[in-house]
Amino acid sequence: MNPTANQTDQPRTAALTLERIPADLAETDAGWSLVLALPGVAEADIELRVERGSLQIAATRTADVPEGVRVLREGPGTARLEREFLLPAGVGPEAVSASLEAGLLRIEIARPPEARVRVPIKNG
Amino acid sequence: MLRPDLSRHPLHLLDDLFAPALRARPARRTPPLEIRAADDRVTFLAPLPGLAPDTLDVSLERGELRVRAERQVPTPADAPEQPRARVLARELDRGPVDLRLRLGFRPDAAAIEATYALGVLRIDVPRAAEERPRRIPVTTR
Repeated sequence: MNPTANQTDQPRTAALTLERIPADLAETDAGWSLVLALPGVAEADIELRVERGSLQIAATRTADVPEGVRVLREGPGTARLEREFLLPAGVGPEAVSASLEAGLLRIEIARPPEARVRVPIKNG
Repeated sequence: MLRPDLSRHPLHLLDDLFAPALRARPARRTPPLEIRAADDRVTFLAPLPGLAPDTLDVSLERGELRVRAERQVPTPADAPEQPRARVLARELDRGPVDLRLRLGFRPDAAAIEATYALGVLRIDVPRAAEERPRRIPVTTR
């Protein structure tokens, strides 16, 4: 690493880049568990939506560089972060709970009670 | 790494939706380290989500900052009470952290400060007094 390379005094708020949020996904008997990496993002800047059978996670990360400070090596920067997951049938907003800790957003999705439908068999 | 075919799973990952926008900036697992410089200090911002704070160890060794920590990325598959958990996607960085940051200037070692908030480790390294820019008064006669 050479801190003197890539020296820049450019403001970094010109265009909002879009990034995909990395995620771990696991399935258990109780449902599904998601862990998403959102370092540097405050709870107030995260939006969770359950809409038309999908779970949408959107967040904004803001890099405030104080005046008189030069960025020698650019890090996360300002960006819009997004990820979307298709939900299994029967899963509504009430089945989804979320918590944020140490830059990790953990989402638990409860498995809906299994719908059992008896299919009648016709006698030919 | 072997991965299940997620497109067949009900909770599948809809990445194609964002593909056009993502071509401009490919997704990274962990965003890179940022280095900022001011006249009196250099600041390192390391995005390291999921660190266990009691394992976090920052030290100054021979002009190098060293950061060591354990990462705790929770997954139900790791929990003994969930023996039937199935991992469907694993994209997060895990395992121990060991970073070495060469300073390239004389720090005021006693005044180095490190804070961990929102999954980002921030280390402020003040420059030693003799390294800071100094205005030299000019005497005119």
